[in-house]
Amino acid sequence: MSNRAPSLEQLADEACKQISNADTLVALEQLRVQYLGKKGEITAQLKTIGSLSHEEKRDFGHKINQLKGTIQLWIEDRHQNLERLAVAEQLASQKIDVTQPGRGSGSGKLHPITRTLERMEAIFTRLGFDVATGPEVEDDYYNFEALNIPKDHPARAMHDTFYVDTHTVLRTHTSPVQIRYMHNSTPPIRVIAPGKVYRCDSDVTHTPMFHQLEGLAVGEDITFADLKGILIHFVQEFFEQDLGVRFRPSYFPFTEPSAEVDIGCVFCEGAGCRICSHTGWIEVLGCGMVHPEVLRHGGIDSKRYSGYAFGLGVERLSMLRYGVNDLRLYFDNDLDFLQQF
Amino acid sequence: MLVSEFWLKEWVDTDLEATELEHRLTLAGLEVESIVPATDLDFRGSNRARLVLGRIIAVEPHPQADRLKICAVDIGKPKTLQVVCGAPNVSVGLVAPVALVGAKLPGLKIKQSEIRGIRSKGMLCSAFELGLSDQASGLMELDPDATPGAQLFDYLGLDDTIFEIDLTPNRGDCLCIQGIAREISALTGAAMKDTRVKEVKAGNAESLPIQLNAPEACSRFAGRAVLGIDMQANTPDWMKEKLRRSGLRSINPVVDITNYVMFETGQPMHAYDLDKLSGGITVRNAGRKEKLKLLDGSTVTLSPDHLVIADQSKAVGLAGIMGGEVTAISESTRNIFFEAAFFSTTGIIGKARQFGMHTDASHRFERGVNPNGQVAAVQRATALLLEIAGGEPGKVCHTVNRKYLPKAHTIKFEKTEIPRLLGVKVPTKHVHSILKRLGMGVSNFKDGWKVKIPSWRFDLTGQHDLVEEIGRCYGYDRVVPRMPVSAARTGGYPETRISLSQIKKSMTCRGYYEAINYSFIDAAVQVNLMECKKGVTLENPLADNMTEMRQSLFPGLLSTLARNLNHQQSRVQLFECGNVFHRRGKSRIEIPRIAALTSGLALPRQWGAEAREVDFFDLKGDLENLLEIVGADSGFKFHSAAHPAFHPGQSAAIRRGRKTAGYLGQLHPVKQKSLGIDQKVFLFELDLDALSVAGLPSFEPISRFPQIQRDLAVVVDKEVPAAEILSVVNRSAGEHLKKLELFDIYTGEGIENNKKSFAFSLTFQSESSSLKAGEIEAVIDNIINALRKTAGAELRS
Repeated sequence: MSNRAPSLEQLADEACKQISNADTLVALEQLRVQYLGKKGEITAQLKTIGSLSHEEKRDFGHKINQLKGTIQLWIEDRHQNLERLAVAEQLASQKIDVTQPGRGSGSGKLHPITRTLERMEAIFTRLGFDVATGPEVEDDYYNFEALNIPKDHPARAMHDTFYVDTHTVLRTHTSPVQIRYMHNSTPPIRVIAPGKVYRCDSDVTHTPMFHQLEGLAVGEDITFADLKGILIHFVQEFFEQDLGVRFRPSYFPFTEPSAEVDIGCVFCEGAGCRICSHTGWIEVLGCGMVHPEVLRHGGIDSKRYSGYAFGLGVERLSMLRYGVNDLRLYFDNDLDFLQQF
Repeated sequence: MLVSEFWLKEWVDTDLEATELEHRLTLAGLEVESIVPATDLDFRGSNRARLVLGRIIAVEPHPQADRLKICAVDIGKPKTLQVVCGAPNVSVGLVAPVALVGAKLPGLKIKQSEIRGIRSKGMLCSAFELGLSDQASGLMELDPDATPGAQLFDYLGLDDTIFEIDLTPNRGDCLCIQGIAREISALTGAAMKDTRVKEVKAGNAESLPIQLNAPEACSRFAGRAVLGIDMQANTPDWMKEKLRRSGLRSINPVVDITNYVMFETGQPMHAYDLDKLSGGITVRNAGRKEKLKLLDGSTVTLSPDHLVIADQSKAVGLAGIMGGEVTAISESTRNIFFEAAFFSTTGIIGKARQFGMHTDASHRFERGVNPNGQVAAVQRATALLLEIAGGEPGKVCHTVNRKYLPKAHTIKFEKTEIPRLLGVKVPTKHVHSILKRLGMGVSNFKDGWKVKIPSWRFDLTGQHDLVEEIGRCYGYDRVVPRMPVSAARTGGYPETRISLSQIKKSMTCRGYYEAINYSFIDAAVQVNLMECKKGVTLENPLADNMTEMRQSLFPGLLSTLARNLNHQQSRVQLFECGNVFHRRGKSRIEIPRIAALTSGLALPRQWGAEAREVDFFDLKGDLENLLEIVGADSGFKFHSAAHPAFHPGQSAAIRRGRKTAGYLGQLHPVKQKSLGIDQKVFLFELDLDALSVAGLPSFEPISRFPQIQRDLAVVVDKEVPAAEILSVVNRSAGEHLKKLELFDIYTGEGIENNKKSFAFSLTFQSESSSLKAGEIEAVIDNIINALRKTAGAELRS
């Protein structure tokens, strides 16, 4: 007996050492075969059991089984360790440089005019305005006559008009849509009409084509107070600033009373700067109560109904909003410009 | 219009500061664009005393310089001042401004100096040197009777301020000092000063008969002869200064007076050399092709819709616009005839522009003048003339046709109109006071007021006009803003509506930038590119390259491409949405379109992706992505079809049913070169109407049974389009075909020269059972047979 016990202990020590030193799964498998395999050392030890007494058999068998279980645990434990190490090693080998740029074609951008118009439309449609459009090549009647601008009216001089023929023009404003819309609907009316307009003028601050957004509301109880309400709301929501808004009497043949609207300069907050010509105010739109003649042309009874109309310059608002300092950039379509919006 | 504050204050009794007046006028609709001092001269402190009047009392030649003179100048002190001066008009007796040592002029400080050895203790000044004129040919010549030593600031009233007022076209009545003074009076309550013109009695019986032959255009004419005037007389300095501040240059006393009266009263005037008129005055329509030489030297050829002032033998003036040259005032004029007429706006409007002219007179008549102001203007002019150049006035000649003269009218102004339009209640006493101060007569009636409109407010025709007068004088700022209280709205957009915004976003997501190009383009470029007929052309284009409305979005996008390539961009992807314009017989149509263009690399230069030039199918993929907005069963098909702008072998029509919705292709290489573009360009254009309505999704049950996949490769003639093969497969594959994907197209080794191979994968699935191998084999056989029969396809071995 006494010469066997150390042998088992030696076996255990040796196994423990070898298993914990196994550095690959293959080596570990070899150790498993070496100790626990059919021809392994544990099995070899079991084969010696026949020469023992009954008592010794039980005791030795117990020890061998115990050792077998222990070696199994050691191998499993080592196996898990090695697997963890292998995964960690694999993961380490798969490390990438996350700062490399992503692949793909990238995204384009909307033109700043579209961006501005969508924002304007969103504000007005939330207030219950419909959106209408009209032709850009327009009859003289809709562009002028129906808007109370008869032929040779001095106000026509304010519109440098492109003519297609004697009776046809490129619309000089979006106001003709007012008439077309009134012809096709009945009060209450609340509509905006965004679009391109044309004036025969080109310099640093004028392009021969630009964009306007027309607004029209007609109903039984529509007053200048409503016009002020809606426009002040618009300006403050558009600029996301509590800007001052000033209504200054003016003249348009198609509105009476008429006003031009100035907003507190968005750059100097009214202190006076180059952009606002040191006045603290910037003119952004014209508006007024729809002239009874215009309502008549639209087929609406001006005794019963009243209405307001306004025309916003989209480029102007866009320039103020994004700080663009040259109107002409909008129609050059340089990618260097378009990429900024 | 330029308006002098001092001149205004001669008419209205107000002591409000210029900045306050500016504010009041602007907020009442007379927009003051700027207020500037009448001079740039520094009028603070000691500078005032260093600019004085001086009279030259002796002139001696400079011993060292021919052009210089040594002047002894009386500046009101016991000792004269010695000044060296090189001005050409230096002469004894001349009174001119003198800048004493220490005086500051714009950009110059006067120091005592020696000029070629002679001491000079100041400077005799020109108007230019004082900043009072843009140019000057010599010393500023002041009234020879002015007092030497007087301060220039006081003498010329240089503390004045000039308002630049941007008048709206309805306020013709404010194109004069009187009108703006009236406005200030109404806005501030300040009283008008008594400026009534005294009648100047006739000194002789000189008179001209006046005949109004076109009374609808000229219903009143006042005139007056003044005999024996002194044309050597000078326009007084105060008048010259007022004219200068109004933006006018002094010409001669007679012309200056007519301009002065116009600026003061708003009534344009003209003066003729009486001795050059033969017989009486007739206001008539011009004859056919009648010629008239005007004051500015130009000759106009007239027609009967022009109005002229004529004497017995000839036209002597283009009515309301400009006088004729033959009868103009000259240095030798002795006797003159003033004209102050009332021309209706309709008679004058647009006429000056026909001749490319715009005069102070036409500007006023086009906007309207007071029909009752002519006689007063003549009286005022006569009084001024007698004061300045002497002479003896004849009788006032005054002819009027009352039938055509605008009549005084009254507007019934209902009280309720003010709150109905303005949304504010204005107390009656305010309404009364505003209307009265604006010169209106006000009396009450049951529901409001009867308002008598003064003759100069021809712009006021109805109640709405009076509401505006109340609004602007009461103050728009006193109207309390109101937000809409709106009832819930019914009706809205159908779910299937596709917004323009969705369409645009589909393009930007694929890397395209939105461009907005002008709608008018170079007709020649358009015809060359699109081989189109003449479209919608402009009568008055701004430039040669903006003559015709675009018939396609391509020309604009291509020029934008060229521009960006020039700016060293090599990969350009653009799209645009906008209208194109076609002529259909006599009518015109506008069609909203979307177009896109791609050129350069398929992907931005990047690591891990091969740099490859973009091709037809890159753009087609982007287009298909766009078409998917409409839904899976959109029904769009691509057919090989010619397009004038495209490469004949790389050009497709986009069809839906029988309708062509657009085109896709490569820009024709020859046209590409002619546009100065040296890389391939791919383009498509599509009617936006084709994208306006999407299909509504419709659910189909999801099958629980397994899918079976088979791949198939066939060889066909090169000419057979892929779409045909796919369509045959679809038709012959039976009801269980779930998915068909073309995954390879091959030509080259192993395939005959005129052939190509298509490989596709088919996925089958039944909704009700597991498909059996036998069923699938039968379907595959069916497909192969159909392909063989209709497309001559063979299985690839």
